[in-house]
Amino acid sequence: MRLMLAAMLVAMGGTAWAAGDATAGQAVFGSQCAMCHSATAGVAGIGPSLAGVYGKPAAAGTGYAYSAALKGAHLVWNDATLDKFLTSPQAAVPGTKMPYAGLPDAGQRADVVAYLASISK
Amino acid sequence: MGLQLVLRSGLVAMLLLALPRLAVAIPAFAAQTGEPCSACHIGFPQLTAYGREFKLEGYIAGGMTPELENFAAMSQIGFTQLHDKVPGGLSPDYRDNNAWTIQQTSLFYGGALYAPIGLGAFIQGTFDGVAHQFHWDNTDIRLARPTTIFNKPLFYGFTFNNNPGVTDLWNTPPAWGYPFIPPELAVGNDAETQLASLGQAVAGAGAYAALNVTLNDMVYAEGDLYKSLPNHTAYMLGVGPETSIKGVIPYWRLALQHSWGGSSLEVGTIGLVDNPYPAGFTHGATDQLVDLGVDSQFQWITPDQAYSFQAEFIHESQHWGASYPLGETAKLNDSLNNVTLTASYLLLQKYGITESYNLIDGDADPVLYGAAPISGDANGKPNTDSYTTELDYYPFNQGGPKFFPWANAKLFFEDTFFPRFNGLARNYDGSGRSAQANDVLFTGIWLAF
Repeated sequence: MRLMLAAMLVAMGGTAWAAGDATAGQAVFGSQCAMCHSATAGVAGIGPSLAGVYGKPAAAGTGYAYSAALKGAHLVWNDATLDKFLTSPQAAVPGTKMPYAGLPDAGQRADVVAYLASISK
Repeated sequence: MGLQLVLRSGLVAMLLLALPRLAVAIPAFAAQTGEPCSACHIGFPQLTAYGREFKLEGYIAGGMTPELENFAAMSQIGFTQLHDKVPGGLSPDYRDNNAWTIQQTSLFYGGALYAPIGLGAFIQGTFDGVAHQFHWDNTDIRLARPTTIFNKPLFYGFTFNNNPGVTDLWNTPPAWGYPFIPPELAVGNDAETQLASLGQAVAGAGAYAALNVTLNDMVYAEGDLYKSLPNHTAYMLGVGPETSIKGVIPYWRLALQHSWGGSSLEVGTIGLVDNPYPAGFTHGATDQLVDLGVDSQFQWITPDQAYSFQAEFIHESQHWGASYPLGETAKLNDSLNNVTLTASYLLLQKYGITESYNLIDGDADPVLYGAAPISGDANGKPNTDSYTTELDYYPFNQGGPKFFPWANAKLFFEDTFFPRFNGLARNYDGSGRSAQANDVLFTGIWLAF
């Protein structure tokens, strides 16, 4: 029963993230992420381009030197992993090259994830 | 396994010993993060938003445990020309004007000590080429942890450090404020605040927290307690004799930062209280010095241009409860004010110009500030104004040469003039020297490798 409930919560959570507003996410991306990350494929800034990142293994992109910590985390960027990482990057992956306090609002995280998914199609 | 560890430790030790000769070290933070220096700095050492977050989060980003790449070195080589010569030499072993010096050569450890718990460090040891002495320099070992409070992101941490303000995220406190590369052979004025003078003479521990109250607004608070180094420890670390201060020295810092993109505006306050013994005493009655400062920093950063402005005002209340009865001051209470205003512009991460104004203004005290050739005050006032123009060229700010990508360099030209020095424009020392005589041109190269 508990397992079923947990599975339902995860499924609901997944639905919520998928239901994020990509347009609102683009605005959050612009104020919080764009100083380091590009949304254009192949254009790295302080951080790597995030175009196409959704659905891909973490630290798998080319043209950027990823941290050993992120390489060793063996993550695939999906709703759950992006949500956890955006909540607190250093808590999720200690030693990541992304020094960022985190996005505390679950709705804003869902929006950003939706935006990242939209630029990964 | 044990043998491997011994061999690896031995190899690391051999390489470390070879660092100064082989110059295999690289700017540690750049190597750890894989980013060019421009990610963390406007020129250097001014911190960008990325650099502030990197420091706040314990120097661990991009690292896990100590690696050889976490060791680095730097050297400051310059030519000093004063308007008028200094009879007897700019410093012991130096000519009376127009002197070259390798004024500072430092070795660093910078980066993660153990990233899983947020432990990292900035540790600097310096050979002072003017004093011909090795000493410990700025040190900040910190443990930083992320959490949330009221659903707001909070980074909190603990620090062991040796300089009030060395932990700071902004370039306004004296520890990281202007001048970024002062000419050590210049004639120094005779008064400075405690916030500007206790570095390396003390050691202490503290805690800090940075709360993101909104996505773009951060509140930073820090409190530290310092103790002055015992005499034998001070000599062992190359900073003797001791600065005798009774008890602990509380230091505080509070700052608010609003940011948008990579740009930001900060306002804050800073202060400390200490109770130094009169010169030559290590017990008994003490004086009390209270520093209280306010500061602000503005940065506007685009990919091709960076503007920054720093302002700091420090007021020091001086109660000479021990020195006055001994006849070492003329008054029981004095005060000292320090204003520093700095504006910088950096184009294409390569070409920089900085203008800075510095004012020291204090009460007249003819005993505290007495007449003496070159260094004295004929009218008993410490008041000194200076204007500095600095031109810089950073050939490697966005990455060094291919064979050494983390190397960086700053070619600098600094021109400082003094309308007033130690209280007067003319005959300030009572021996006929003018403030203009101390105008100084300092040019050279600051290498980081």
